[in-house]
Amino acid sequence: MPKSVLCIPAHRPLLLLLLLCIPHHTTTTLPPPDKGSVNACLLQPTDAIVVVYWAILAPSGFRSTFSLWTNVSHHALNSVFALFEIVCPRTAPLPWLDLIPIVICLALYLALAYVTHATQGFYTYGFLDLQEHSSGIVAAYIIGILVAGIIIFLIVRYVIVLRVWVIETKLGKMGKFSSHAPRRTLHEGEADAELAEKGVRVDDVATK
Amino acid sequence: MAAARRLIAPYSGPFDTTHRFVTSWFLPPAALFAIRTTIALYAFTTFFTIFGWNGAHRMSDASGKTFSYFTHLTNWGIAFYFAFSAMHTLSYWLTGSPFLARWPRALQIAHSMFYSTVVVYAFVVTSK
Repeated sequence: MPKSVLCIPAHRPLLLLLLLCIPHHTTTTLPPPDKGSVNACLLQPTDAIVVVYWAILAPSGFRSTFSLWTNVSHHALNSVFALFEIVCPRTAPLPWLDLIPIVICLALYLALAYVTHATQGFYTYGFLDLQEHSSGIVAAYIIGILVAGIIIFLIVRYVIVLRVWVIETKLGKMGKFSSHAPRRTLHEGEADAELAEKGVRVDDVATK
Repeated sequence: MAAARRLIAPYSGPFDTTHRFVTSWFLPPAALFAIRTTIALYAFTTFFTIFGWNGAHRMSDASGKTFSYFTHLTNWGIAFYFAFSAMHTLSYWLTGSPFLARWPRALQIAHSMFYSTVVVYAFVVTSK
């Protein structure tokens, strides 16, 4: 059940009263904590406006609102955050060497998934279930995810290459820097690198 | 081998001389810091709200089980990445040199690899 928010002017007190008296679900008071549901009516009478806010959250309703928020936060917003880090900072294209920790951590997670099954008796993902699927199917899923990881690495890497090319090479926007002078002095190799990155066009970003 | 040298090229020589990890092409350092901090706070708040909600509904063991899920582990990585990068951005904004620049090479490389894992795994999670 979705939440409802009502703003009712004070000159309709009867309507207000009716709305307050009609419960949508069985409980009208706060249930014991283990039920996991909240049903609240808030009334704050003022001269000008009466705001009635009722959050009627039955066990299934509340769980769906809460789980909607956690799902959006954990499955949608994380991509938004990652996209922010890909587009907005001046980061260089992902080094190829970083494929190694990416694959290793994926492999470590795979190990964790089976440790979880061995110690706690559940599979985090159905496709890992060796009792349900043959070893061949499970292996295929695992390889599939490895390949997906590598493909995503490639996509992200080349999106960053594109960002650097468009922003720095084409548009010449070399960055917004701190107004404070750096503490340390530049050493020989660093001065060239600094020029190359700040002032002079970087010829081939992809070779980095 | 030339290929091996090319592989480690980003990590050899001076690290991030122009502060690429803590600057933006259009956001001033202060704004970049503010956004990264907000995201980090949001990410941590999400976790602790979930744990609190689980606790209030006598489902605390569900909180423990979240650490077996790739989605949750990735989101912990996101939370800590934004917290640390916000910290580096803040130090850069205020002094012209981020903490990252003064840290040992191993931690600098780790930060770069951390960045790579965050941007890749977030999409692995979404695609799963």
